[in-house]
Amino acid sequence: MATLREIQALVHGVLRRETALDAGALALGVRADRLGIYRGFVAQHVTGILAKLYPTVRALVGEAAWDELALAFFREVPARSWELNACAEPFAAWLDGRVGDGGLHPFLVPLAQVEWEQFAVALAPVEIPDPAGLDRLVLNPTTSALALPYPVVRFLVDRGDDVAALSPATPMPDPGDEVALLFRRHGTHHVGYHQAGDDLLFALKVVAEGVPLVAAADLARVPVARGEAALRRAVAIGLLLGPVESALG
Amino acid sequence: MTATAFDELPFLGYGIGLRRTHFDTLPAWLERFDFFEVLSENFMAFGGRPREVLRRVAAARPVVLHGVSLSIGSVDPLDESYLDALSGLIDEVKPRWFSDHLCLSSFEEVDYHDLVPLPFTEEAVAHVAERVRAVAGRAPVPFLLENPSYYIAYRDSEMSEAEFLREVVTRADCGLLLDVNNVYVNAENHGYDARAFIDALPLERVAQLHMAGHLVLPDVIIDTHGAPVVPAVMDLFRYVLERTGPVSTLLEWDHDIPPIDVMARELDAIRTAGREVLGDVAPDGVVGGEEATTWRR
Ligand SMILES: [Fe+2]
Repeated sequence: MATLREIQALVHGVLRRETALDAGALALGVRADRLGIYRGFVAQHVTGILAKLYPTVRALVGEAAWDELALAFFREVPARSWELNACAEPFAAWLDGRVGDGGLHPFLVPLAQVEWEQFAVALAPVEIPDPAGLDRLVLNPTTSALALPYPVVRFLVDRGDDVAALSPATPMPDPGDEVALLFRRHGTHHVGYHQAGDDLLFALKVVAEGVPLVAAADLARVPVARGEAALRRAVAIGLLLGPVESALG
Repeated sequence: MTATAFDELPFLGYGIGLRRTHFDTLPAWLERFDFFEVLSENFMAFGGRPREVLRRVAAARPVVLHGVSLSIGSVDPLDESYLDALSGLIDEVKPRWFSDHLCLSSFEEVDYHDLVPLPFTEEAVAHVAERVRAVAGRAPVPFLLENPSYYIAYRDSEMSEAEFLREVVTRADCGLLLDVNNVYVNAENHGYDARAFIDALPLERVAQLHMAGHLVLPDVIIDTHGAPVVPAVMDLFRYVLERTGPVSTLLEWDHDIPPIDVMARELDAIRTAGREVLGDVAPDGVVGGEEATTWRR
């Protein structure tokens, strides 16, 4: 009679697709078709969560190639977390290793990074202070900044979040550096994503260094009015929280 | 908890699982649900909207936690990071109890996110009982084990499923979350009598029931939690209640989740079946923050 460990090792081999289904079923003395139910489910949990978290990558890759890609990820990257979504986090890094062979466009890698970050920011276990209760400007604590080799935010904004309109025929953008800023809005929990242009970077600098607007504007050689407009925009989109007036003096 | 305490846990009435798709519509329908079951893994690691909704629900209604990743039957060591996160959620939400399945869901630190059955062996009984005691021993609220649905019967099993379940919960001294649909599905798939199975269980340990729908395929019934409860499962539910008295009963729906009004209607059908057996029994502790009174059966 097999021990508990031996039985679990046999099942594991089948679920991880390291052992053939029929051979595993025979060794365990179970029906192969029934064991196959688990084999299918365990892979589908991972491929399903990839499809949920990376809808844009999926649309650009196309259905057939995507299915192959997702199953390859399941085989090559064992799920190391009890939290199913977390098992999909290594997808962008894994994709990076496959660029070049198989015709994968390098744009898909930073795109996957942004799609993951949208999820991570939405559910980050961080409390966002109520802006109405603040007496000075602070950075939204959910903010994540990604330095990317492709203009992913530009691509997403231009497409208007319309995943259905994307296909393998959609032209990929040319390379170009971009800093993407993602953060969750207070109250609505909506995740905003923005290209960090000069104005938002200036606003971040004012808050990070805690210098008054006039001094920061002088240092950056930016007209004060433009600096103030940058701060107001950062507050309007939810990147900065609190009263703009606190930075004006 | 002592061996006799499980039938003294409060009767929370009839509830549903807290699911993201109902976050917007739930507030207007809250009064139709007596309690909520929270899938631990859906909330443990997360802030944002889910956490905010969970706090509101837990302030308004009793809550119980239900997990799928404890992997109580695995030969791996217990996952401390998992237990820490679970313990944090228990502290925050103050559930009446928490539960997981009599199965394994990981091996050599690879997670399946599925419920893989255990062989019904003496070795597995001893292994699980010891681990349940370790988990329950450090929790401030009672722990229940659920009978999972399963599709494979190991050649090396030494006892029946009912004997296995009885031995585990008795030796572990934990409560039983009896999934009535799983009893039906397993009885059909493995060819045993569902009522005889129920008769063989330590029913004094049943602290919660699950009701759910399933999918009938030509060769097997799959426990999908994606359809209405069928009449045969409703009959089995009445059969259980005739033997247990009032037990907190939850409608599970995890796939193709219908709108909240349909959930309320489906739950009412279960409530009606319960009333046919029990008469009108008010749930204990309808307000989440309040200590529930104990209803002895
Ligand atoms: Fe269940």
